Amino acid sequence: MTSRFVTLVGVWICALLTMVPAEASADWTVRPFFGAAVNPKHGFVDLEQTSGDSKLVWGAAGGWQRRAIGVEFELSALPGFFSGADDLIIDGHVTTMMGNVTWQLPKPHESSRLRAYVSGGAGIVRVDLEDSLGAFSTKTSLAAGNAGGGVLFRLRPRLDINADVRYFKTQYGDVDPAGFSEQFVSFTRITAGVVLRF
Amino acid sequence: MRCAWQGAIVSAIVFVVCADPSAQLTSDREQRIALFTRYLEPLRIQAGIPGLSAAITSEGRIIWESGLGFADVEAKVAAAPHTPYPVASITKTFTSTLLMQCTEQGRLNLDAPIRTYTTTVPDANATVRHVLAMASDAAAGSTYRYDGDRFTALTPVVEGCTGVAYRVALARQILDRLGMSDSVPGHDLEAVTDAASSPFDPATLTRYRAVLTRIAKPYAVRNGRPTPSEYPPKGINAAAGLVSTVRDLARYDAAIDDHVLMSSSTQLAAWTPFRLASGRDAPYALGWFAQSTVAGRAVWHYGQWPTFSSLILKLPDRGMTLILLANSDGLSSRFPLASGDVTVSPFARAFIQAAR
Repeated sequence: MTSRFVTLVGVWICALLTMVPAEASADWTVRPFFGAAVNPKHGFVDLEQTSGDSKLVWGAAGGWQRRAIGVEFELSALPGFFSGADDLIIDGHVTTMMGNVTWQLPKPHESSRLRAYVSGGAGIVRVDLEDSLGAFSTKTSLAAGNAGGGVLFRLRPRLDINADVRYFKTQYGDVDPAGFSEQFVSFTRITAGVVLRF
Repeated sequence: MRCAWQGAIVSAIVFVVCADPSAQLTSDREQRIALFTRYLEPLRIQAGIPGLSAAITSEGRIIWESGLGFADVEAKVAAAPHTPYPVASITKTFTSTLLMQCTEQGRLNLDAPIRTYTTTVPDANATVRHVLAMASDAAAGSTYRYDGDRFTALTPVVEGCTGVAYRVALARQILDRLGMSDSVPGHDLEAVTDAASSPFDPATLTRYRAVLTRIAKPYAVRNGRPTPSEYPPKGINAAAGLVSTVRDLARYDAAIDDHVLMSSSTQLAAWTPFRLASGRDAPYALGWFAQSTVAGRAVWHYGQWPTFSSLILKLPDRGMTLILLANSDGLSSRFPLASGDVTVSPFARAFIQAAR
């Protein structure tokens, strides 16, 4: 499932990249960001009872922007997704890999440095969970989608600061080894970052 | 020179003794069991169990016991190792014990037709063994199907071979014998006030009623919220109805291991998976589930009512047992235990990993 899905995502991203013809006015962008995943829910064992607690998230997106339309590939990490203050979880992190399309909304007025956008895409969410007894350890990749939006504030011609909110939700996978539910992950990601244009 | 050789040999022996791998294994296992006990609280919460009583035994001795959550959420009565619960289908293991005792005493042939005792089993070829092994559906002996109701057909078998009512046989031959003083052979005994119409003496009835005043309150849990609910049917039969505590069940567990209730060969027979007509082994033996795990053999039983659930998991090759009683269906309802694989229970899965 995983390799087939990665292939599909790759094909999908390539298709997106070919939708917009390259022009000299187009920008390549890099967007490092950090923030929090709020109201996380999942179908995995919750040994440290952190489901619902906000989690640290960081990552980066690289993309290509022409006029209002852009495409990007982003990678984000939630290193302590299943971990709390206890030591029952040895490793419990989530990684998201997404291909997104962004559409910048028109500026409120021509001189405005603020610009809003909406964004959405699909990809995979990788879950790595290892508990101390090894009873519920699992490594799984789930197909996922995300949708949201944000604002860009232009500081310099090639430097923006950015606030972004997105909702992530995976498919339902196999029943978790703990047996409580089918495996899934969902959360709302709120991040801040900078956008470098080249 | 000779002294030097002798010294070397003694040193080598001391080294070998000190580096005894089995001692190291035991120590590692103890650490894992300690870790397992910390799994129980988060598993309890995720399973939707308001109150959970737990005991772990090793070589017949309780090495850990605890109560987690509440036996009565509204009154804030904490669950404890002495909290009584309806144990649901763990009662079936007691029926197995009573019937195996009957066979040892020559008063019962497990291969006798069940029709000798009851007409509730449709297949005329079904034997007591078939019913005890959950193999009396369709053509007797051909398939395994967990059927708690069918197991009630064994009530008259116990009564036939013991000569007394099921609850009396249970009390006399197991509960009283093992000093299981917090166990009651039927929740309905709370309503019996007339000793003359009861098979139990007034003092025993008083004790039973005292135990039943402490019984855990039943809950239905939806979206993590417990709602007070109804007690399951209060009577007792061969399939369900015993009220007990994890401490008392630990006594029962120790008696099984010490062969107080039956000989080791009879116990082994009760724990040997039933061989179906196809030649395959069923996941069920005689009143117990039996399977292999990474911690060796596992013999176990679960219980499930809409408002109570239970698990007894014995690992004979490790000399360890886990006993859990809960006041919701959280130990059992989400996990397809009737299929015969105890590792679908996260509680059992973690315990087996700890005891491996």
